[in-house]
Order: sequence, then structure tokens, then C-alpha cells
Amino acid sequence: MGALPQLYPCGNFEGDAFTVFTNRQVAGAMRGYGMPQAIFALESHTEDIAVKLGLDPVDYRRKTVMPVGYVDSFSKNELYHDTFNQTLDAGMKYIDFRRKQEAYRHQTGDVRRGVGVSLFWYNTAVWPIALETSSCRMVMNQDGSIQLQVGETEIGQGADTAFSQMAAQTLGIPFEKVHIVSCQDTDVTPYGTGAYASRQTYTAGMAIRGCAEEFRKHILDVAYRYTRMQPYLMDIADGNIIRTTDGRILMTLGELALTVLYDRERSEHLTMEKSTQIKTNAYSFGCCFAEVEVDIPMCRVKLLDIINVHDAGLLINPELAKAQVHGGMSMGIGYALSEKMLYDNKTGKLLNGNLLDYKLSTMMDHPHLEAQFVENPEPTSAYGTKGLGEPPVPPVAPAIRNAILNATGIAFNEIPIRPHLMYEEFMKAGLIHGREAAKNV
Amino acid sequence: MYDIKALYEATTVDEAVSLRQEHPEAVIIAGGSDVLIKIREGKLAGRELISIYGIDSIRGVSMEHDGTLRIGSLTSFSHIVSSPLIREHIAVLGEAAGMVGGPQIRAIGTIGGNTCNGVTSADTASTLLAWDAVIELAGAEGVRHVPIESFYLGAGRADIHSDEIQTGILIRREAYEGFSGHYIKYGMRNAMEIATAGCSVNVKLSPDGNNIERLRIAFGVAAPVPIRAHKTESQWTGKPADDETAEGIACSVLDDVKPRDSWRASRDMRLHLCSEMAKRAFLEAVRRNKERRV
Repeated sequence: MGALPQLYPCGNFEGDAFTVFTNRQVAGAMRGYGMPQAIFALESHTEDIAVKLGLDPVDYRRKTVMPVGYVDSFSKNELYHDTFNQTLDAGMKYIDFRRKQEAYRHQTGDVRRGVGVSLFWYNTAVWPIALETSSCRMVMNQDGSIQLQVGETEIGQGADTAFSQMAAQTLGIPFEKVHIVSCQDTDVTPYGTGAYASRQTYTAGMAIRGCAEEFRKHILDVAYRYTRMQPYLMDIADGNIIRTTDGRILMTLGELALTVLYDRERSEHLTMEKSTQIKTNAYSFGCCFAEVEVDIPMCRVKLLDIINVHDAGLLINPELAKAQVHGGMSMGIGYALSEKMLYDNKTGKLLNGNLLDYKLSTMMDHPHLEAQFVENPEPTSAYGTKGLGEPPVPPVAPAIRNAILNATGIAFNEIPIRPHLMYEEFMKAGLIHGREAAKNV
Repeated sequence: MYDIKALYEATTVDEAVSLRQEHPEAVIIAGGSDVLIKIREGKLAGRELISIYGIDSIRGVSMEHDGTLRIGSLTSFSHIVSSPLIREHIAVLGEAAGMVGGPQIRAIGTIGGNTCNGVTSADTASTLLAWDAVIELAGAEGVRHVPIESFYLGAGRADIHSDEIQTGILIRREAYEGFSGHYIKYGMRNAMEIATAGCSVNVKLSPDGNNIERLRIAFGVAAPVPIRAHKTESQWTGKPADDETAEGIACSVLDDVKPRDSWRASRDMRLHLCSEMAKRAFLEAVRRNKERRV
């Protein structure tokens, strides 16, 4: 509900929300839950307005979208940069939007092409709707490497790599010296609220930075005992204790860890743990452009090209960020074109509860997935980052839907746009004539 | 995980026939891409299996002295895709085999299994039907040949006697020489898919390339078993190989096909698709046949 007046701010918005109970499959969390649905409705509607008024879909969006400096009164999230124009520019350039828009005007024939666009907005983490907290533990080994533990979990997205990069950077040790504990066990793991709401680099980033800064300070205090140098004259760089005034290496972290552990007077195991509550949130924005070819008599859509452009703040690991976007785009493609739970009308029984009949899109259904970024640092974030886990999904389905509209003139108001739905809508629109007419030829 | 009562393995056709006689209740298994799934689903649980997968003599594609193309029943889809003989004489069968499932299924699944399971959506079945393939079976009384159209008895049922195994699929010289074909698989995605509908068309044009000398059209999922569009074939044989005929074929196949409503697709949609696929497959087959003459 909040999605509508936020992406295109409007002072006169009224909406009703109600919950419907059904006897269908129990719903669970799926990447971006709530947002792919809201953005599909909003960006389909926005496109229909532009088409009806005879306005260019990109220009219309540029004029009406959330302006720079906009602050959400509830979350206090702010649009700090000219993100929408920057991401739209990048997407239009890649897909060659203007030329194709021109080329695809006034098409006739069985096979037609179209281009479509969709914007999206997203929040990082759930503050202030709910609590956000994250904790981090660092334990130094006798060779100067660390064990890193956070409650935020690696679920295939590369979080552990990003966390290790963060810890290495703030602590001043090489990346290879960070041993992250990948398997989380609530008996021993410091508390984190989980992998949801595209929060982990943002929230765990704060716990990691907070922990690493205190740990660094503590290490330098301990180093004073052996180097006789004041802590403020020292730093940790590349795994060494250095004197900042002349850059001299005073001792390695390994030497320090070993020495202090076996110190007969003041033995100490170097370790730090810190819990952080997060009371900010950050907008994540971007757009998607899709190009399709619709074979009208065959009721088939072929996705020719697609690009997502994201402003997820600074990227910790650009290759992992791209992979994150590819995965989201793939899920968006299935959401747009093929994934649908089918029920028996009489019994309500799920008919396609298997991976043959529930049609996830395959590699053979994807064109090249282009992922680009506009890196505007997020001011509230420990490492300039903001959400990227779920944001790749929401804009994909409306961009594909709007491309199909551009190609055929048919404005689909439901997804997935499967051949069955196209058959019905193309019949209604007179684009195809079915078997009866064929018999009259 | 797999509830199997017993597994008997044959390495020769004779052994397989003996095992069939000794264990009449046993299920034949080749690559296992159908049978093992059914066992796991519980449909064939607790049964005895006769594996014929080790009978190397019925694996591979060869040409007999009289020009008959022989495809051993154990030949995998991926083998068919890459076979030079298939590519030269009946390229469309390789294309159809290449649309089955994914690479793993194509490596283990066999063309014999694809026909013996009697499934209307089988990707190679409509093409074999469209090329007048002959099924070869070996049993206690010797070898039996059955035209593929009568091999299919009904949904999931094929004409295999209790002492028999299928040993080969034959395509006679007169059935392939001078023909070009095209197969369209209509699925909801481009891999890991069972056809919602399928159409295989082949033509042999007159020496001047203008008229249809022979026309064969087969459909998958347009009836409980793969079917031929006989009425359409005879109606348009001898007619010009042009767009007008293609439109005519698109209409007349509607009298040949009998698709049903199911939750996978409506009857009306399937009829529409059969019509459109027949037209397109015909035009592509004609184009290929003309190209072949150049």
C-alpha cells in the first residue's frame, strides 16, 4: 500500500487494504515478498496512464517520480542522489530505447517486438516497523588471523565473502586472514535477526564495523605494553602494528597475539564482541528495461534482452553483486511469464506441485542478463551499502508486461503472462481467431 | 529410496526373451528415466525389473543393405542427435530428440523407451509416426514387425507381447528418400519440458519442386496416442506447395485431431495450436525440401 504514493509522491492518496482468507496453498516468504506484487500493479498502471495520455513512458516517469531530497515521514528514508535519472539513462543507453521505440511503432504481422520499462523502490531492513539488531564476534588466532562470526547467514548470496571483506578493511588485516564461521548455530553464534529484507550488508555491516573498530582500539592498547608507543601513534595495516609517524612496522599481529597469550604476567586472548541496534533504514532504487518478441498466433513471448540498473550504494564485491542481480532477474522472469500454482476448481487441490509442472524458467528461457550499477554511497551505512538482495525481482515483471503492451497493444493485468492467458486475450482482441474462423477460410 | 523387488539383467536379446518368459510380471527397464521415476512415485513400487540396458547389440544407428535405416532401441537421444546417418537422412528426428528434457535425460533416455511407454507427448514419437517407422520386436517365436501407427494401442499401452522386447526402429528407404521434415514442440519453456502439443510434418515435392508428391503430418498430444492427419494428407497431396495450401492444411487438420481439455491446456487452445503448428511445420518442410534440391 505504501508503495504507491511513495514512488510517485502524491498528496491526495486514499487506499483501502483488506485481507482475504482462501483455501489455497499456504503462502510463505519469497524474495521481495509484497514488493513484486505492488510494483507490478503500480508500474503497469503507470504505463497505462502514459499510454492513455499519449505521453512517453520514460519522460512521464521522470516527471512524476520521487524527487531528490524526498524524505519519507515514517521511515525517515531519504533520496539523496539523482538516482532515478541516472539509472534510467544507463538502462535506455544499453537497450537502445529510443531507436527501438521508434522502430517498433505501427507494427503489423504475426511476430511483433516491443520495449518496456519499470522503476522500483525498496527499503533496506525493517526499521522502524520492527527491531533491527546485529552482533559480531572477532577472535584473534596466534598467527594474527581472526575468526569472524555474525548472526547474519550465508544463503548462497555471498554474504560471508562481503562480511570478510568488511572485517579485513576496518581491522587492517589481509582478506585471507579472515576465517568466517559460515555455519551458524544459535547455541554459539552471536545474535542477528536473519537473512530477510535485503538487510545483511547494511545491518551486519554496522555490527562488523563497530566490532572491528573497538577490536582495533583494544589491540593497539595491548600493543602499547610491548612497543611502548602510545596507542594514538599506532595503527594496524596489512596485518602489522605500524607507527603512524614514520610508517615503521613495530610487530606483526601474529607476534602480538602470541606474545600476549603467553605473557606470564598479563596473559590475554585477544577477542571482541559487539551488539549493535540499527535505527536507520535506506532506500534502494533502480529500473529494468526489457525487450520482447511476441509470436501472436503461437501465443508465445520471447525475451530478447533485459537489463536491471541498481543504485545499491557502494558495492562491496561487484561480481557477487552482479550475480545477486542475475538471480533476482531470473526469478522475475519466471514470475512474469511462467510460474503459476494451478488448482483443481472443484477440490482446491494443487495440480502442479512438482518442478516439471510448476514452470521455473530455465537457462534456455533467459537472454543475457545485464546487470549495471550506479554507485551513490548511502550516507547512513557503515560501508556505503544498501539493499540488493530482493530489489532485482520487483521491476522485471512490469518491464516485460509493458514491453508486451508496446508490442501488441494488449495491457495484461495479471501474471504470469502464460500462453494460456495470451490465447484468451488475443482472441478477445481479435488478434487471432481460433479454430472456428480457421475453418471458414 | 527405490522399492525394487528384484533386478534381472540381460546382455543378449535371447536372454531378455527368456527372462520375459520366466518373469511375466516384471517391468522392462532401459535407461530408467521413466521407470525409476514411476517407482519412486510408488506407481511401479515393489516390482521385478528386467534390465535390457546391457544389450549392446540393439544400440546405435546403422544402414542396412536395402537402405533401411535401423535405430537400435537402446540408442540414446543424445546419440541420435549427433548421428551422421540421422543428420543425412532424417535430420528432423535428431532435432526432435534434441528437444527432450535436458542433457542428462537425453544421455540416459532411449528412443525405444520413448515409444514403448505409449506416451502421446513423446518428442520422437510424432516424428517416427510421420516417417512411417516400423517397430521391430523379438520374442520366443522370432522377430515381428509392426507399423508404428498400430504399435500404439492406447494411452500408455503399446503392442508388446509378454515374451517380447523392442529391438529396433526401422525407417525404410522409400519412407525417407527425398523427404524433408520439420518438428515443432510447443511447450511452456525451452528446456526440461513435456510438450503441450507437437507437430511433425514432412514432404516430398514433385521433381519441379512445385507440387506436393507426398505429405505426412503427425501430432503429439492431439489425441491419447500420437496420430497421423490422414484426411489432410490425402486432401492436399498433389496440390501446389504454397502459402494457400498451408492455410488449407491449417484448416483441414482440425478434422483430424482430437485434443482434450486438461488443466495443462484447453481443447480450444490446443486446436488453435495444432492448426498453426501444422501450417508452420509444412512451410518449413517445403522450404527445406526445396533447399535440398538446389
